[in-house]
Amino acid sequence: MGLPLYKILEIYDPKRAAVWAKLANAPVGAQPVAIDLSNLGDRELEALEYIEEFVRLQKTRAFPYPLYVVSNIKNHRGVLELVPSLEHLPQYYKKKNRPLNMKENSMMAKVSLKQGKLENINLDEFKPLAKTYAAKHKVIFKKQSYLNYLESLFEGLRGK
Amino acid sequence: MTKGKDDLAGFRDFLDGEKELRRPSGTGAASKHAGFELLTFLELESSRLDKQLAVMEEKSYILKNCDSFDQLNRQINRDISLKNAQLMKLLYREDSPMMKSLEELFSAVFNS
Repeated sequence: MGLPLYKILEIYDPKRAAVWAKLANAPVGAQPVAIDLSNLGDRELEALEYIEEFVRLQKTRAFPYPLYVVSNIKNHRGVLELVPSLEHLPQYYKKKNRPLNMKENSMMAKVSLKQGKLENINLDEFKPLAKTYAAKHKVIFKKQSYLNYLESLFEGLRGK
Repeated sequence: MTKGKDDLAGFRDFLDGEKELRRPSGTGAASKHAGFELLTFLELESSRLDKQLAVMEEKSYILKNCDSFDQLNRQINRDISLKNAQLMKLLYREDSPMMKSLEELFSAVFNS
């Protein structure tokens, strides 16, 4: 695997087949990917719908690396994260690509190993587990907040 | 000012030579800094992936096999019942603020 830096996919044709062909060959999840729709003008929404369809049907994993869409569409409510321009992409993955020296190569080997491990994790198994965990702990949190309230009431009354 | 300029006479060639030597090169401080930037990025990335692995491999195993929710829920329910009982006991005491307020209210309504 290469350095985890942005891979920019420029879309010029908003047709379903063209968008899907671009996405099928993209390293989505294995590398941070930004799909640039800014060249499409009025047809950005059409392409965005096809991208969302692809992500939904192919169960693309935006993990461990995120997937961004560069588009001027405002107030879009979807599963994908939209940014208005390439400059607005998170800085973390914006680094200049160059050949690595020995020290960087050994660090990159470690990173690759961990990337491989993460790719092997079954997300279909982990997601429901995380959701159940979150729901259960929300219950605990609410009960603890109520208990804290009772305690403050008790302390206040005992002080009088 | 002119005297200062005269003082440099004879050194000009040397100073110009120094300037030429200081011309920025590809192996200067800037490129060294860029090298460290990539190394730091890889170190950060490695620790980020470590954290994700810790959650998805180790903690998910613990969650699946030893879920602490039931025990925590029982404990907190017990604590809430206990605190409620303590509060009620405190409120129904004769000298409690609630009883005093009720006493004032009833005496104002029924004694008038």
